[in-house]
Amino acid sequence: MTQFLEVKKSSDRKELEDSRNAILNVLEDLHTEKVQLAETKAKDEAILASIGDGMVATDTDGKIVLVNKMFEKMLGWKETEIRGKLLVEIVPMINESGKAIPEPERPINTILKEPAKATTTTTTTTTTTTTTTTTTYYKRKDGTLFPVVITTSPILAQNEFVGVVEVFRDITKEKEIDKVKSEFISLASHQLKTPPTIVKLLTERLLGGKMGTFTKKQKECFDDIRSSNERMIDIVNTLLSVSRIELGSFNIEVTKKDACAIVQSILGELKSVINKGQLKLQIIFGDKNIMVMLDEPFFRMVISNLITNAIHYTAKGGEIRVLCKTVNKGQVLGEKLLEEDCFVVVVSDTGCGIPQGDQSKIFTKFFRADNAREKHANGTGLGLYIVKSILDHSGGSIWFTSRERKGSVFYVTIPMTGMRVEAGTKELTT
Amino acid sequence: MTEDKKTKILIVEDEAVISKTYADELRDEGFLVLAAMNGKDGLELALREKPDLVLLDILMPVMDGLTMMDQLRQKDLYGKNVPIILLTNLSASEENIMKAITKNEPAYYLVKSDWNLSQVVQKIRERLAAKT
Repeated sequence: MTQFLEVKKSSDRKELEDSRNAILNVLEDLHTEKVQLAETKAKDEAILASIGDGMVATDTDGKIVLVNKMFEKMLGWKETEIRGKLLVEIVPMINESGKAIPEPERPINTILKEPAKATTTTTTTTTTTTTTTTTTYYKRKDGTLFPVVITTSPILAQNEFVGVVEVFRDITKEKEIDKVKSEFISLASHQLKTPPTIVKLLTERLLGGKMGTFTKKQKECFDDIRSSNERMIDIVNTLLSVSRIELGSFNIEVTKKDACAIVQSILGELKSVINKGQLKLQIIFGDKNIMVMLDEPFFRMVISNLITNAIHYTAKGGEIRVLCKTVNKGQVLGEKLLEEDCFVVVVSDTGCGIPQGDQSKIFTKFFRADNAREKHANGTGLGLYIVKSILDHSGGSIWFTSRERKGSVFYVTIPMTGMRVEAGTKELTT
Repeated sequence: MTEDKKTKILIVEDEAVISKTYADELRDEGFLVLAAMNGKDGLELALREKPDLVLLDILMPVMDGLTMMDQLRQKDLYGKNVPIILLTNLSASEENIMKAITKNEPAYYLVKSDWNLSQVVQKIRERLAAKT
């Protein structure tokens, strides 16, 4: 019996010891986890504090739950002053004209209005993100403004929409640099164009006959001066366009336009050149009154360039065909499947075509195919580069099919939703 | 030509050769021409002589064309209504030209390097006809 009790005691003690060890292990694990959690929290806080952009998180009502140090520094608010308040009330958003952007139009409210769009992932990461594309300003606590680019995203936790995070960057410096770039181009435009403008006006006066008559030879000389000067003006305009593309300083501004009417008017302007080249012109408008949101000067530049190329590279008696129509998503155009409904302009010619080996280079700046040089010596090799840049910047596209000595077909598409508005600082030409 | 005899055009342009060439062409076409080399002188001349139309450059010393246009529009009824053609080598969006035109109607915009003298004269006649 005594032996039994001894054994029992010994077993109880072991059990107790095991339990004690287990508890100690659990406590140790808990401690480790607590330390790890504290470390993670400190790390997260350090990351948030170190972000160079302002950041604010709101709940599903748009009330502020968290801001980072940069937010406090940029806007002059302390987190403790604004936690639980509506972000749209604390930080007014102002447009370029100095007017407050209405609350329903604020990016945060776009997301809050349609949180369903934000429930497509399974992680805590965000999905639908909106970034401001036009210049907007945030108002500081003291009432001063600064320009910002804002990226707003929904916060998803376990597939559930729990709030919105907004990250914004102060773009004051970028705006200043843009201004300097624009001023440079503006000055270059003005200064470079003044001398050829004077030559243009004076030759016109001389050739107008009001200052006496010239011999045939003299008149030929003045005609050559005039046409060379026009080339000079074209080159200056083209180079300025290229500068604007490369400095990213041009503006795409759209208004609803009758796209076919614009194409028709371009053809009207080029009629005399087409007749001079003894070319046949076929115009096909698939639909009438196709209204598209266009930046007319840019659209004109694209179409005018393509038709002018067709004129330059097609021999006398050849044919140019211009087709305008709408093409629906899923349809094939020029061997390409369209991914959205588009307004389409197709410019085809029976000209010299583009040699196979040169086809990959024709949108490259200053590139000119050898047969193009022979046919039209005065080209700059910049037209198609500018055309492609405009379309790339405005959501359109361009491609072509071509066979040497048979001709080329250029396809231009503009989404039916219109050219994409892009905020630069300057118009592309003149 | 004769119908333009009494029509007075003010050219405000700092580039002397351009100003002279426009002036010669307009005189040949029968207009009476006044000229100023900057916006400040142009404003004074416009208010004193009340031309029928102002041909206005933008980038000029002392006072630029857009400032002159703003001030002229605010001065009196004549200043408010006189047609102005901005004739410049700046692009339409530079210096908020389009905004200034909308704000200061009747005002128009032509790019110097793109327009012949005869086309400019034609535009002047069109604007004068629209005024009457």
